[in-house]
Amino acid sequence: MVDERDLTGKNGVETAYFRRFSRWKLLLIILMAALMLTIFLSLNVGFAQIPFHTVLWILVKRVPFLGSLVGSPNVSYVEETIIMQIRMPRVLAGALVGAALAAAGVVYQGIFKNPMADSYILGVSAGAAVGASLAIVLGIGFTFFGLSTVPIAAFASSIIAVFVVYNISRVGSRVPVTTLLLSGIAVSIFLSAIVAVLQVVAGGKLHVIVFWLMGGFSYVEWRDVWAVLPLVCFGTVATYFFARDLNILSLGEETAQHLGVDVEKVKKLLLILGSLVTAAAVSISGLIGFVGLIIPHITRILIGPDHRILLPTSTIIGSTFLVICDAVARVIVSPVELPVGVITALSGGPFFIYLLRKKKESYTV
Amino acid sequence: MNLKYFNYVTSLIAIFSVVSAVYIYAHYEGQIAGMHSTISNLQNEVANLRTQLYKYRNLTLVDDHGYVLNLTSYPERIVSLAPSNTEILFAVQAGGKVVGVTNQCNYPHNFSAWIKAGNLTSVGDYWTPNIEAIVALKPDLIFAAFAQDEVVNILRGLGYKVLVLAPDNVDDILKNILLVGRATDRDVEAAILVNNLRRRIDAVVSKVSGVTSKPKVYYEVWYDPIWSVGSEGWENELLVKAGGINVFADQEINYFEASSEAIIQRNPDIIILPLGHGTGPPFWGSFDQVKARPGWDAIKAVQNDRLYTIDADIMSRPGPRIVDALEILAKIIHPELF
Amino acid sequence: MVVLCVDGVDCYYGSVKVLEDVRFSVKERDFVGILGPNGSGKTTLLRSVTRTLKPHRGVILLNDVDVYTLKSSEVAREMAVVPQDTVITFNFTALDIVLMGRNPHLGRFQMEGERDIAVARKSMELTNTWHLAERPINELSGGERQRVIISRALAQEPKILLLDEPTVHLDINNQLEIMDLLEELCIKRGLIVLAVFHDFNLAVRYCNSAILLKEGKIFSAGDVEAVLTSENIKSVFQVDAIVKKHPFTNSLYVIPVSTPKAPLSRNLSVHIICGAGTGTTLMKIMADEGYSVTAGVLNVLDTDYETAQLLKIPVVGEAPFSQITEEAHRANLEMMSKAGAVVLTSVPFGFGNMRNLEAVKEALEKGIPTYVMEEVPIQRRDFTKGKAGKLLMELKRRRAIFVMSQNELLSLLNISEEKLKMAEEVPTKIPGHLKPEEKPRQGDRADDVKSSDHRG
Repeated sequence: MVDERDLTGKNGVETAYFRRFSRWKLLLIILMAALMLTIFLSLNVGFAQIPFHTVLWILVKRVPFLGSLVGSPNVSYVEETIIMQIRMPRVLAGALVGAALAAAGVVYQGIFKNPMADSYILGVSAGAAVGASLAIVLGIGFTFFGLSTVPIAAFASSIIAVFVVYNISRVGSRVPVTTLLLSGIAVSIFLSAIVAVLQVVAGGKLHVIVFWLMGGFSYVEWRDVWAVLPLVCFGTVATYFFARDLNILSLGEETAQHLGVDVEKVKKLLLILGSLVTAAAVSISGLIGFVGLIIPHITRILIGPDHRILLPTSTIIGSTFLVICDAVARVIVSPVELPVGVITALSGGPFFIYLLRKKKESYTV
Repeated sequence: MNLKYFNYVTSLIAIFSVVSAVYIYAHYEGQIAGMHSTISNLQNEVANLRTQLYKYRNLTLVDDHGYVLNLTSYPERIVSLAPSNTEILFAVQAGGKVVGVTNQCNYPHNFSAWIKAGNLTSVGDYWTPNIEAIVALKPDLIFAAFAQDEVVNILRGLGYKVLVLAPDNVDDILKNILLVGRATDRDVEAAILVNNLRRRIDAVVSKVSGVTSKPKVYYEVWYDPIWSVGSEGWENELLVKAGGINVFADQEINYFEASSEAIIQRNPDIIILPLGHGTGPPFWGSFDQVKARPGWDAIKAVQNDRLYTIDADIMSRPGPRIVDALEILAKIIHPELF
Repeated sequence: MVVLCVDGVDCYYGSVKVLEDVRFSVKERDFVGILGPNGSGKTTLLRSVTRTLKPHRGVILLNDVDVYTLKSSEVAREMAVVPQDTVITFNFTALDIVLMGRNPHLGRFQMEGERDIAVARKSMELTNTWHLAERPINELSGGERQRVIISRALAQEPKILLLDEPTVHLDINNQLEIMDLLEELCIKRGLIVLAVFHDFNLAVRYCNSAILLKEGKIFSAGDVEAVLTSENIKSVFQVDAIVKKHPFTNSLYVIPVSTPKAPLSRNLSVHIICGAGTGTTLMKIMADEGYSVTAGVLNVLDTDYETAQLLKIPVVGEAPFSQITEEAHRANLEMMSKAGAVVLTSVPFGFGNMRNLEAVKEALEKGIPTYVMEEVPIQRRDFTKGKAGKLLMELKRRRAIFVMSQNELLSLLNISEEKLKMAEEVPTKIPGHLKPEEKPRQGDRADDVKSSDHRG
């Protein structure tokens, strides 16, 4: 057998391999820029018609050096309030939640090697729903140490739910993946039943629960953003360091173990990170579906299965996607706001189907 | 006789009188003028003090959640976040100051037409008001309602003045009307309205006070699934005041899902169904359809054909029209008295 | 220097004991084959060494340290595993897959560097997969994929390579290539290979040691020639096998022999005169058919002699490179007289075995039905300067039945046996393939059969 050299040249394959890294970096920079642009454009959109240059000025004047260079046109307090106190927090929340859900989705799909896995699969969504519904029904005053009770309750109960699911599935020091999945489903069903009961006793507050469940950014404030920002940023960045492990895990747990991956430890860490990040997201936005499930798949079709690029790309794309969807949800029947989940599903679904059909042959899930 | 001497004295006296008269007159005139100016000065002072008093007058308002709001001036741009609040505002003649309402507000004017014409702004649906829209209206007072806590907190956090009107019973509704009057410088109008309403309520209550037999009434809030009202809703209170008994008075909740079985078992004498707005048949079909519900032929109200309708808005909105509802209910429940 | 030591290991699946008291050790330059029937615990043994299944008893030491106390990455730097099934659902490129083998050498925050690519490249070149480097793994054939996986294992730069039936998906040239590669790595670089085999011949050809498992216990372990013997194979697999050293490759080879089903017992006994491999098939078929077979005179180094031993056919043997002695000749004749028929195969004749021909002549004189197989004409196998040919002609004259093929022989034997049986009224079943053929038979042959029946 003759050893054929790669057609691209003596060292073609090696250089191609290293060039791949720099291509990735470029892609990420472009995507980040797109995200920033989307955020800016989203700030321009809303019930109140605020001119483009006003928005620009309001933002720019906050930048330390630039601020003093720009003149001061006639900008009303109301416009500033709308941009900085109403639109900015919800746009940023949209970006954070989109990033969190997409990153968690990638991680879960990698651990479970299951294309149906998304960030909610371990009971995070059902747990959060119980916490939020309980807080709404009991009507515990809406502020508690500076943070609202509903997000805190939602976050706490979702973490508890995941903890329960994890411990049910544990066999000695190992947590088999199928057991985790099944326990997650079982616990979610149980908790959803509790939410249904809570809805019955809610009486006149029923619509508050229903709207929370539908998910949205209508009433997001700065304090919600500050509460969630560190957790989401840390979580999404931390998962990146497990990207190679996720690549290897996709070959199977036994093989991964043979290749030097401490499977149980990595699984546990990733599950914790994924759950924390998802719980944080859900606590401020309610249940927004589709992002955690489909964005990773869309990115995988476009970019490939290598988690070292898949993770950051999915995160940024998820972010951008949700910011756009929220802007649409806000504006399409203003002043009434549609639930964001409706927009994500309506837009993402057909696009995903289109991609699937285009790459039918080469996409293996 | 000395005529010359007489003329001399007389003319002296005459001159003296005239001069004194002129002098006295001039003097007193001056004094009076001075007094006038003093008076007018004093009056001016009084007026000044009055306006100052007015300006530094602190209007303290307490809403249904116990939140204390201090107003230093009366509002010029009011936003109402619920149809009931809108009705109250217009009932106390403060409607001219209202700049924003919800999509559900429809009384006492056709607000959707106003909104279309651009004379009024909608801030969204009553269950999810749009913060941006509210803020864009630059309101100086906002009236919120039941189950809008998130919105209220955000608005207060942004520095806006919000009062929550979430009454539990008819008495609270009347107190709210007075509160709105105070807040909008319509104290007198509000007082007169409330007085009227109380008289009408008392009229009904006293007429039914001697009644021995109180019919059992079932009020249906929604038909699929069936929702009724428990002891916490004011519909219940209205039924009681109208001389009836709510079949679900034992349910310690405001609104809840009821089972057909329970209704049949409690066997109401009267069934009252809500009428929505607009033309066309009601959402629950027709009386015949209601009577035809499985098992309902056992109900006394069905057998005696005592099914009635009432405007859903006046029954469910905590505003002045609640008394209209009371009077209609009284006629339905005790036709012999009204 | 012992690198891997398995000591007293018991393994359970749930409550079922799958391995019992397994102990062996492996050192540099060992190429160990693990063999055994299905369910004997081969894969389990591998899994216990690779830390997938922890033993309930005993210990597995890698460089004198218990494997189960080490971190995954530490173990992975010393041991690499090539699994049996390689189903990869994501479309990584082959190079990506091989680079994953570098994981144990990379820190969490480290990216792959030049050295890693160089190692990967070297590994892929060894398995001849470098040209597939940029192809997606799930587009490759089973064999190519397997070789990529082997590259991945090699990229770990391990001291021990564990393989689970590594050549199952490969075609023959790939099989040899890989095994040769492993052998070379073992000999030249001291790579220890520990592999589960199903294929005896591969195991026996490449391994220098073997572990034979039976029902979870080590049946035999040690040098491969000592372990893989006919007896052991028979004990463990219940299969007869011939184990011989092949003159060309100078390695053992194993030929399993299918055990005949309960033979139909026939009354006819046949003595076969053969040699040089001409009688092997015949002996087997006749044994299968249920004839009681005897043979002679055969040189003890002769293949037919070996076959006879294997089939437990009574045979008259003779020392190699010598003429047939009087003793042997007499024994031969004695056996023949006890037989109901004599068959002479197309054995080449030299002066050494001429007496066999004479024996046949004597058989004929005694009236024993004799069949001479002429698959190969006598001219081609006569090394006696014509004497054998002459004798053969004489045999013909004496009414020996000449047949051209084994099938013909068998059907004739069948018919004669039928007649025997009919005479003794014992029912027999005729196997399908021995039903008399439709081709016209020479009249006198049939007559001969009839006439030869009437013997003393």
